[in-house]
Amino acid sequence: MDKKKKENSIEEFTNQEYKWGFHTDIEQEMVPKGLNEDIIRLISKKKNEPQFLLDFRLKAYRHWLTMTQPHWSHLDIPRIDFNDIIYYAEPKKKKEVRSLDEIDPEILETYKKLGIPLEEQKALSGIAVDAVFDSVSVGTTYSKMLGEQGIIFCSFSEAVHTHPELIKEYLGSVVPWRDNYFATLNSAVFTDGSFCYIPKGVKCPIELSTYFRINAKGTGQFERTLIIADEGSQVSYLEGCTAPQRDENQLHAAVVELFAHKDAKIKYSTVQNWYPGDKNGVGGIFNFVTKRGKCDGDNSKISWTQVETGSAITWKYPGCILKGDNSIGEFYSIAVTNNHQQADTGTKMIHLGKNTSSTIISKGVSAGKAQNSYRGMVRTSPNAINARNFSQCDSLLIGDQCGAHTFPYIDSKGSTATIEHEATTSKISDQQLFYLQQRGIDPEDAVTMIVNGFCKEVLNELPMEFAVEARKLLGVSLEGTVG
Amino acid sequence: MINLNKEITATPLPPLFDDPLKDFRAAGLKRYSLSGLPGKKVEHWMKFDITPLKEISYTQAVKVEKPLNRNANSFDEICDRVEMLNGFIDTTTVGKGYSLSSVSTEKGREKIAGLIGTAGDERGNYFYNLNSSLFSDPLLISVGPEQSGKPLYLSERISGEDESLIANPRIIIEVQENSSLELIQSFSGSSGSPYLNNSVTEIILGKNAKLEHVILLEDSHKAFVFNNIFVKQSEGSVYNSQTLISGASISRNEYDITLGEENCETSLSSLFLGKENQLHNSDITIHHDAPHCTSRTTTKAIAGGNSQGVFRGFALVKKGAQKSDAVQQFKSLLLNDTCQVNMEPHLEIWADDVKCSHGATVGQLDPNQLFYLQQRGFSPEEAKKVLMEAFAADVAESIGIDLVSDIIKTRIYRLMDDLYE
Amino acid sequence: MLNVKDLHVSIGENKILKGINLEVNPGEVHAIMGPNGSGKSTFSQVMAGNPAYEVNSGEIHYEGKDFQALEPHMRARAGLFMGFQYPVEIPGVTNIYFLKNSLNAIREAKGLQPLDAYEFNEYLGEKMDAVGMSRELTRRAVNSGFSGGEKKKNEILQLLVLNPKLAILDETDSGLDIDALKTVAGGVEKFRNKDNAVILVTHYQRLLDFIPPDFVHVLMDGKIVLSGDSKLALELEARGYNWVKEENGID
Repeated sequence: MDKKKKENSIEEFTNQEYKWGFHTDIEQEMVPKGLNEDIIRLISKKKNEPQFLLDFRLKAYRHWLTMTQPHWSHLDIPRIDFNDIIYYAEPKKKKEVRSLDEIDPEILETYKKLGIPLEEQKALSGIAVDAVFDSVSVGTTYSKMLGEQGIIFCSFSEAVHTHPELIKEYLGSVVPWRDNYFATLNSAVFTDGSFCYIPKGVKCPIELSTYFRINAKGTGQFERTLIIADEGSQVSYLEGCTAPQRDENQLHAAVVELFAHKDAKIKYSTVQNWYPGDKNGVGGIFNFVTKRGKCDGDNSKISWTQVETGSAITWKYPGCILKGDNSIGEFYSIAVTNNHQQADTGTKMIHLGKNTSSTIISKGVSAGKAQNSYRGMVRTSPNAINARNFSQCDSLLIGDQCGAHTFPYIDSKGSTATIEHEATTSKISDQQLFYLQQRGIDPEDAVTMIVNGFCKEVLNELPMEFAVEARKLLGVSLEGTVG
Repeated sequence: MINLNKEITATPLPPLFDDPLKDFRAAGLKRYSLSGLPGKKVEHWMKFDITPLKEISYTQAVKVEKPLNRNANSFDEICDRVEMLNGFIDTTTVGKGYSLSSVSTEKGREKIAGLIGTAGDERGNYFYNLNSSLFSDPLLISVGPEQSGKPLYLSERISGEDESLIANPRIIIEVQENSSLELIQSFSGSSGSPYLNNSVTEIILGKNAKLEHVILLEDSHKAFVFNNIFVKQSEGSVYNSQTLISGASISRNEYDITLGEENCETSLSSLFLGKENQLHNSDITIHHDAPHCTSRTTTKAIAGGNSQGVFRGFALVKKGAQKSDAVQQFKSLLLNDTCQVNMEPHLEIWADDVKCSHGATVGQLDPNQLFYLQQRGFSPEEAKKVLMEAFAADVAESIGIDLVSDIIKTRIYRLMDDLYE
Repeated sequence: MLNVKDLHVSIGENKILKGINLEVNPGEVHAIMGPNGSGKSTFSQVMAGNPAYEVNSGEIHYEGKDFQALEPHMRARAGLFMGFQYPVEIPGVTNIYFLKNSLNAIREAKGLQPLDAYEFNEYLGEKMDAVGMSRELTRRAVNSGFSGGEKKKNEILQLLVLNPKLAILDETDSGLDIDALKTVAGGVEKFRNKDNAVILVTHYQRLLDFIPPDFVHVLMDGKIVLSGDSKLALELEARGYNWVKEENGID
């Protein structure tokens, strides 16, 4: 095959379309555009929140006003007009929804199209879903069944009313309200998200998941998720996201906090597929997310797995604070960028306790004119006796217009820590492509196959149901980049 | 008096001459007035705290008219030598093969004016700007195809007893097409008061030129030493350097290497032996601007006492620089729980057909290995030393100037004796 | 089946093949021999359509169709298999996944139903036994961490699994010990029948002891300078290549 064909094929690949870009036509209730204390009070009032939560929001907002938008090297974040955003949008309720079957059929249809049936009888087996539509949770499946084991799985807003004591204790305990620009903004204006509590000794029998959908125009989504795993409990949690195709950039600034007590294990998986913008870089979601887990108790474990294929800009560094002795933090990441997408992602592993260990496996794939950066920090304190870290960051480049960058930061104080970091950069070799083609596999499938192979160590970490979806997504996100 | 927190004024050259570097210096001063020195919040300087050196009022070092006899050293017999004292050219004993120029002749002034800033202006920042404002007696070493046969020993010394001196030595090294040079550059000074040696060395390598560069930073424990090296490489040229850092209270090695044309090679290795409260920063940037270039960086540290090493490596592969091959290795050995290291092996890649990798490790002496050696009769101290020597061996072995490699190896192993408590 | 006429090929500025003519019919085994650098591997790569090589002039017809218009995967689907001299490693992609996709792509092109996982496993198992390969190798990534012998066996396994019409084996015998060579030869013998054809590209005679060719061609300086039957191979083994050079006036 000649050069020209190869280039054509690259073009086809980069031109491929976002398949989740439809818009649901539904009547929505919104607050006026803009950000001020009145809006925050209004959101709080709409949600009928207790005073402590309003105080938390206002404290964060006032602090946010003193902060400036972060400027990062190799990441081009346009200035965002925070007064041009609608901070709250919810589907208009026709009546009080008492069971999932009473949800607006339009919304049910939306989730069905996305492959997430919400009706009780059709719900995905083995996965409980909390569906968040713009600013509110529209329904949670299996919550009754889970309730029988003492597991609380509901929307954040619901938890505020049913379990205010847990919210009060844990909200901001891992990501403080003054943590960073976007987390502080979220603390002021967050609307909904999922809440999950696994009681002592309970191993959650099914996967829990949240499916985030941005639908309304001009809105931002500011979700807040809190997962608490009590002593000896275990939970695996999945998160998925999509949004309609639009010319404007929409802001998604989420905060996720995980709290693991003694002997608890939390596995958190994300397949992020927000609308990435078109091939000229117009539109797409700005995804600024603060995710952090605290291994508070001894022998606890938090594992992050992410597949990031969407968004115009991804800015997230899911981290672990390894406070408990023998606690374990893991970060497995695949970030795929194409066209004009920018991904700046990585992790922070903070080793405080004895014998703590962390593993970081990051796979970045860039194609088109995209930017892909790994930015990660590993820190060991003198008390973190025998702390261990292993990091591996691999980049795969498809085409010569993209960039791949690796920015690890290693801070080690004290003599007993062992830290290892490795990074490589490679491209899909012509020999590999030719070999696969010689065996009858067409070039696009060959690329997908090689990329899947490159990402394998991370894909293996995903729960089965997600792994299949993620594999497909990798193929779709990169279709047409090579011939 | 010069206070680095405040504005500075440039020192003119001796007024005898019409100063052709006036404009260059004025430009440097202008740049410095904009950049100043980095504060604590500037990226890459956050972990390297230079506050102590800003708190001192310095006296601009002046030419020492009748320098005291310096002590003979082990390089004397085997090397040609050039001495820079307080930033001024002092004695030179060089054979054939080099041409040395200073501003004391008109021809020298012209040559220097023609080359100064060639390697540094595009890349340099804070301390480069400071040097460009205050340098006093620039030295140009030019090497042509006629070889000297002996390595060149370039000694930068600061001498002052009661005052805190600031000196800004400026050196330009030009290795012409198809020529080569072996250079040993050492930094030292008297131990009375703290001083700041802010040295800039610009290296310009012609086509197929080769420079073997050994750098020894062995200043007094009160000194602040900033060694700023800018290298600009032409097609097929080779730059190899090995750096040993054992002195100074606060020190920084900045290497900025531009692989500007095809088939350049560069290989840097350094070893920091940290003790007491030493703070060292090594910042290496390699610009892969052209295709088919190779770079290798090995940065090692053995940190004892309360010492801290801040290491940053940055390989930047420009668009179109296909077949770039860049490898960075960072390895640190921490000897106790009061020392620390920060490592940032960064890669920025804009070309797809490249081989780039980096690795970083932090560890300590392996207790199993220590025990094994002791079981075989080594004392704990001997066992530690054996393992430290093994850790540093590849840097020690990489010394590219055969005539001096044994001297330097011996020096490395001797310095290790001071490291463990 | 395969008809090559006056084929000229270059890589960049270098002319490698300078007018090759070759006809291969079903049921035949051809050996292409020649010293290093004569263009043997280039010939194999060009037949399989490697885009790194540029065909300057000449024709390649396969089953009456112009082969040059087809991309490599379409040639494979049309029944051409090339055993690589240096099989390529593909990290993370398991052998079994790769082979199943490959086989089903080729089956689909033939208008056959794809095999499901169960059927494929059965089928693959038989073939693996035939070349004496450990099942464990199917779970490993394609050629990654394989020894030289394992890689070549893996090529023969693929030959049996994909069952092409025309197999071009590029130096499949190089770097093999005698046991591995026998396994490889045994695999090729199993593959052979009256409907398919084999081109063995090789440097040495020893593979031909196990697989007697119908035709032997000597490739030198980009041309086939001499053709004959299997006796020619023995003569080359005994006398080397120099006499051929001299007779044909090549330095």
